[in-house]
Amino acid sequence: MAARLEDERILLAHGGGGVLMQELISMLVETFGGRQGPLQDSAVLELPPGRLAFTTDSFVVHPLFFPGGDIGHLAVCGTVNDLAVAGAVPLWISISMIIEEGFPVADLERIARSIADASAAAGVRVAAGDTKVVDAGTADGIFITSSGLGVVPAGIDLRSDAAAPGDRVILSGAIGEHGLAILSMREGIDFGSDLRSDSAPLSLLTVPLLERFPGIKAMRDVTRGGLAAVLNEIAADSGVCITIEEQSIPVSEAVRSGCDLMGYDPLHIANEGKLVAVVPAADAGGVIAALRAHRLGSGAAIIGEVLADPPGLVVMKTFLGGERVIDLPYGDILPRIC
Amino acid sequence: MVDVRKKIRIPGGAGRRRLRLTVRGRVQGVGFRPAVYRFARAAGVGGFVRNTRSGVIIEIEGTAAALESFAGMLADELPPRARIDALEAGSVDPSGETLFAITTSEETGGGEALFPVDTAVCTDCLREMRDRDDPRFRFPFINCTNCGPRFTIIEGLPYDRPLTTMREFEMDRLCRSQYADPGDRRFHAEPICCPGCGPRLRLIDVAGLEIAGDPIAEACELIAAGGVLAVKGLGGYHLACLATDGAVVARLRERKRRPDKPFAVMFRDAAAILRRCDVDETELGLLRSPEAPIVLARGREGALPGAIAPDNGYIGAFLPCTPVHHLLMERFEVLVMTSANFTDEPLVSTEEELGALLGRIADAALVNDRRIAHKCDDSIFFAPAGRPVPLRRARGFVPEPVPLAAPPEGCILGLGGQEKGAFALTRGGEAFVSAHLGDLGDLRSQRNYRAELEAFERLLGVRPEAAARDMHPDYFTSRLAGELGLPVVEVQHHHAHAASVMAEYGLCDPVIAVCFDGTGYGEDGALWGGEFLLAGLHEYRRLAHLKYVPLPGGETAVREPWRMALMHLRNLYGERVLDLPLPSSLPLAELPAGAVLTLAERGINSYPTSSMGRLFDAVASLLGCGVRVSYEAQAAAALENLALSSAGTTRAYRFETGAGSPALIDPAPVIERIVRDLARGAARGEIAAAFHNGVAELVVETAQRLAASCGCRTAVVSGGVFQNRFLCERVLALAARSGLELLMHRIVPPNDGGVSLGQVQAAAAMLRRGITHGSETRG
Repeated sequence: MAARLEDERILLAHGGGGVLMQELISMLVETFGGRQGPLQDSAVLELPPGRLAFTTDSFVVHPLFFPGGDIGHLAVCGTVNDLAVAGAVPLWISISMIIEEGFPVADLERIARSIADASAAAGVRVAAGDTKVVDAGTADGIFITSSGLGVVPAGIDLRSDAAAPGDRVILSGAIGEHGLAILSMREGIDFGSDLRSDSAPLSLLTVPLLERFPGIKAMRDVTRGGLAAVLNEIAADSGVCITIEEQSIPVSEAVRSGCDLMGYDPLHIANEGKLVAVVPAADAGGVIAALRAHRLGSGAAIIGEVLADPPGLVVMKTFLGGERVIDLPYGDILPRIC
Repeated sequence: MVDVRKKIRIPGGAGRRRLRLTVRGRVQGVGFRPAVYRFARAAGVGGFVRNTRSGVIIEIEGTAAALESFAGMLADELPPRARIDALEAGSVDPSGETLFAITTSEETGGGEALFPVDTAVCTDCLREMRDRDDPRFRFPFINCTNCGPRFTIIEGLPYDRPLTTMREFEMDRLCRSQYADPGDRRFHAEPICCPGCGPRLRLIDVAGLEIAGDPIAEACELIAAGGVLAVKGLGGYHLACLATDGAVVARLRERKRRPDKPFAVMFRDAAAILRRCDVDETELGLLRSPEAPIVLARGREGALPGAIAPDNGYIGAFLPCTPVHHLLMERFEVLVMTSANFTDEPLVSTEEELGALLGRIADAALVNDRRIAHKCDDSIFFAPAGRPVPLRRARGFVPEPVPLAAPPEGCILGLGGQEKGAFALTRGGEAFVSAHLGDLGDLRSQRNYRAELEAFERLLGVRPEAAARDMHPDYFTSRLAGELGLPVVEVQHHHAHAASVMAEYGLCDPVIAVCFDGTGYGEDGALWGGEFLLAGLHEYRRLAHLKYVPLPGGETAVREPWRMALMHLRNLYGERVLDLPLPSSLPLAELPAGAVLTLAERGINSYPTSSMGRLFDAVASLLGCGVRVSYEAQAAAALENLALSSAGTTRAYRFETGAGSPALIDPAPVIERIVRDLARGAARGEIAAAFHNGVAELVVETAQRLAASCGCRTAVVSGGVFQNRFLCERVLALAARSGLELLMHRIVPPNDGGVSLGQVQAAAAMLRRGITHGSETRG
């Protein structure tokens, strides 16, 4: 790939169907690992045995580049993670870009390389893609939509309605890093320490883990809405109470002080490389050991357990011994202190 | 109150005549019927007295002189807790009856009016408890028709022993005979018991094992040695320890995880209070009342260790309320007597819950086997300028109903707020407000809330037909409203505050409502709290409010008052505020001031707020009274304490009020004066007093101006800011001078503990007009 001029920009013509568009697509295809045959309207794929997992997600993030990742990295990991926590082995993803006219080509190349690196790391292939260019002012630089296909091996059945009383709730590592890194950079607030997004492909963790512990009942990646949202969804879907211990929840000092400053609760902050697993009590120790053996799960901890009552609620035993009900805010988080 | 003599007109002429009296008021469960029986016997009249759904029915028959004598006794000799609010009298045909009887109610079901409150042990029982020859000598559960547990033991109505937790104790011969004797003070005293049949007091250690010996004596030894004792009272457990030993108090603070919030203190008797506190007649009256609430009294300098109420000008004082407390206080003149719980958790009321405290907070517990059916904290009052105002309405007051200004068409449930949970249920033209139910963010508090709501509905025999809630989307009570399957009415927080005072005083016509509190969700999505409203029952108009400033970091800005100081400095000086020389009492250099300014500038978790409570925080922090706080209104209490040290100051800072509608009140000139006064080295107390005076002037002058322009004569004040006695007394004094009728709470608290009453009152009026969502009128 030829080096581009620093100030080269995406033109509307890059989406016009002409040579410019061909060049753009060629660049992307090359970056994503080259063509596996002629570029056709659909990728035709040979499926291994198992049930198909299929997901799609759109990525809009500001800033596009942040410590620990960028929108391209997110687009791959987000989709891979959605497949991973469904118990699937991720195989293929698609990448569809909506690019704003005037977007720096160098940035696009950087994002493309990031997509390539992340998919290589996750062991998935970019099997399909598309680009569109829109008028300046109608998008925020670039939006990416990615879909993913994976295969769920026989014997694995992860469902968010499967949590049962007695099960343990495991978190794969410290929460809040992605959301706070983005906020810190976007708003120019220095928390006095370097925060990095935790964006990472969780399949590296889940695939071997599920091989060893097929009895794991549910998994969710802890993204938008944070741990609070994911636990509430499991509690509601399973009709159980999830009780967690504040002191067991891994939160880095940087995230804690950043949250203190902004008045946010780490439980509500987004992550891009953490998962929650609901596992039978007997497996909990083994799952923790397996997770901790991997770089992506080194901070794993049992954060709580599943109770029968009251169904649908998430309750956190606080440092002070309180039993705080963790609910989802209706909209933004509003103070409730009277 | 009614003039009983005037109401009972005895027909003239000779011979026997018979009158039928229907009496309403506090006449059930307070020894009223036995008293009537005694009057009838003394006067020599025949007839009966009976509890019914609509009140107490009395029929008396005899000569004119005998009836006259009966009426005189009914007017003058009521039992201490009884109160006649309404009396109807009419002649009926004489039947020749010469004997008088207490007849049992013919009615069953939930409609019965009787739902009595708990009261402190009466002087007659205390005398017997101290009488060596009395069968109840030193009996810690002594009670009679005039005193003792009621609400806290009731599991069903009508109020009758089998439907109380006392059913677990079978009366012995003594109790049975007194219970059945209409001439006895214990006639139908449902919790009657004695050493032969009643609950048993036991002292248990941290393992739950009984400690041998006299439980009271052993418990006193433990306290005297510096230990912490859990004591079962009427509505829950207390934690008792030496109040005079700072180290003991500090240890309790550490164990309870309550670093600063004042502890209540129980005194042996009024004399003991007078030795350590300055109390006036009103306060003394409250302290000695049958409700025996905690009263915030001015503590004398050095009277108690500073750790009892750090940086707070008041001591929460109360007198022994149960025989057990009296027995303990024989040994001590004063003890810390605080609710048994960890900070912000519900009051412990069962032996199971006690387990969590034993060994962690309490070294032993004085337990008994009389179950508590309803958690009920101690009530708290303060008395600005001799007017009793509740701060927490619970023991002694719940479930006494509050008459509404305008009755609802059906039963309405007011769900209340969040942090000081309390609901209200209407029946007829009255609202029954629950006890203080604590911070509803906690699961156990939510459970208790649901259980109490279910119990009140059952006991009152009502089914709500509509639910009134706050507009805050994330209150527990807002969520609950959606689960009930009822039509929901959303009442704006400060409208509810206004309507709660209106309900208390029976006001239906619009008033000027001054609602100053921490935060309440406004109809524009901002956090209101410095509001002047033209409030009717069904609608309100926002006439003026404090200018919005950001609340940077949401709840964190409440816990860190320095942020509000920074916001008000920014409001005054603009965004370059940190480049200016600022008061050294506010240590901004040690705080993330730049980052917090960024939050405000970029609108990150920084809702606009017009909160007066937060302005108090800001000023307190400017004066060095708090960078961080551990309990609500801590900084404001410290600021009031400072002001008390310069109570003679007549200076008042002036706010600047704009002309718009709603008019914006800018505190910038106040902040500017404070900064200048600090720079010239003025006494902090003087600054604090001048700020209080300024707020008082703002309240009265603005209310007066708005009242004149709206054509109304009355102003009401509500909201947590009006828990400040210094402020309230100045407001009352200014209002009296100006001729403005200014009304303060007297039945429910000005804080969010009172909003459920306002919610049902406002919702009743809103529903009549088909309004279900907010009621702000603009223009």
